Amino acid sequence: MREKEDIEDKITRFGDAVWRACLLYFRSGPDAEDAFQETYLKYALSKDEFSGDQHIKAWLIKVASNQCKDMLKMASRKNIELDDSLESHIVAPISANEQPGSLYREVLAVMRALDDPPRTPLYLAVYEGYTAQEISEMLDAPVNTVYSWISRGKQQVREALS
Amino acid sequence: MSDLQKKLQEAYNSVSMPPDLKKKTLEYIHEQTKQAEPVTPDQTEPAVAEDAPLVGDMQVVPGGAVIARKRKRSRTRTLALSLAACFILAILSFGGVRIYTFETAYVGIDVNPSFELGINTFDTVVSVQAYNDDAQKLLDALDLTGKSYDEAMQTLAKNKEFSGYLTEESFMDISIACDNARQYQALQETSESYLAVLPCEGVCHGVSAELRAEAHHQQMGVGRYEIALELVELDPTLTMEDCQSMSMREMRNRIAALLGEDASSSSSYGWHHGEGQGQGQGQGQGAGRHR
Repeated sequence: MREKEDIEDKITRFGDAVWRACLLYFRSGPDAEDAFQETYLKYALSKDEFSGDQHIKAWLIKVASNQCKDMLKMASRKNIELDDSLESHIVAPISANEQPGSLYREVLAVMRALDDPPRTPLYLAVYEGYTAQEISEMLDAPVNTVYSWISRGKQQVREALS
Repeated sequence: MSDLQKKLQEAYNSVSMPPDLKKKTLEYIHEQTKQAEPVTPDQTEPAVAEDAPLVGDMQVVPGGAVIARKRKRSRTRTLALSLAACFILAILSFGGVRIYTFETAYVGIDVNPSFELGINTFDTVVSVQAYNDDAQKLLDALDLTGKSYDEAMQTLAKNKEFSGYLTEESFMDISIACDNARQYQALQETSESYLAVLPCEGVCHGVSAELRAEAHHQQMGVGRYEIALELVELDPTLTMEDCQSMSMREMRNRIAALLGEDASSSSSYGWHHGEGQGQGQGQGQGAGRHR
């Protein structure tokens, strides 16, 4: 098992990224928290060797996504309404006039409503900045398939937000 | 940065981990790893001796615990099982025909002809589907159904008309939609060995049932559909209909030019001669096939 300091360090540095990956699947805070904790438990117990920070981050995001999917399969539960615990994690509005909190919620809701794929590949490409090649390795999918997922995802999000 | 990218960036930048989640996670990990201790010998269940006293259907084990004992199988039960087996065999015989014609995998081939072979669980071609005129003409002249996938590929390799499409400048995309690991691997190996002897470049990869359905909705082979999506994304002046008439090589060259890359390199495409990636998640459907 990994050292406590190592685990704590990885939560500090990549916790936001893992949290956001969990919120791709869950609207409820407790569900996302469960997935988050299980992800880091797996990190604590894994014997995988990593080639650097980006490798660790990609591993954590992939494990978090798989964890969320497993939880959804097991529970077969529907998304509940946006609760206070999620709203409280939306911080720093750009302009009060635009009510950005509601805009952000809309964007997050649109992303959650996408099928997966293209949800995760789109998120990894557009927000986390991974290339199609990197995403294909993370998700074990052909590069061309990743391109089509990203293209389709962008189209669907644009249509939903327009 | 595009408008969409900006919206996504701003939305997700606003999301951060709950402040107490780190502490809760560390506590959770500590609890979980503390509980994962090996079972000591005195915590295991007592062994059951063959001569342990019987109480009806139960057996008394050392320590006084009573557990269910195994009963000998009766002759009536054996007869019932035999009859059930015969019944199942009869069902299977009638169902055998259905199993034979049921596609469990689909192999799409896109060069300029675009067509798809429906493969059954015995790796035999049971249906073919053309997606453009070149492919229709080719399939009308060949009889691939009833052949093993390996034989079908050899038939294609020997066909003069199809060979005419396979020059050093052309590109072949073989896509496999199959949710059975064994079958996928077998089809991939056959495809890659076929690609290895061709004069053109090519790739073999897995695709999902979802992508296949989308491609067919556009009346395209899967390989062509995938690359067309990418090309249209990069060059909005083109439509999917425009891509219908382009060869795979032509589309690939255009993408490379738009990205400023060498079309023959194996950079972000991961397109190598005969390289397979991933595993398809297709589901046999088999509706509206040309048999």
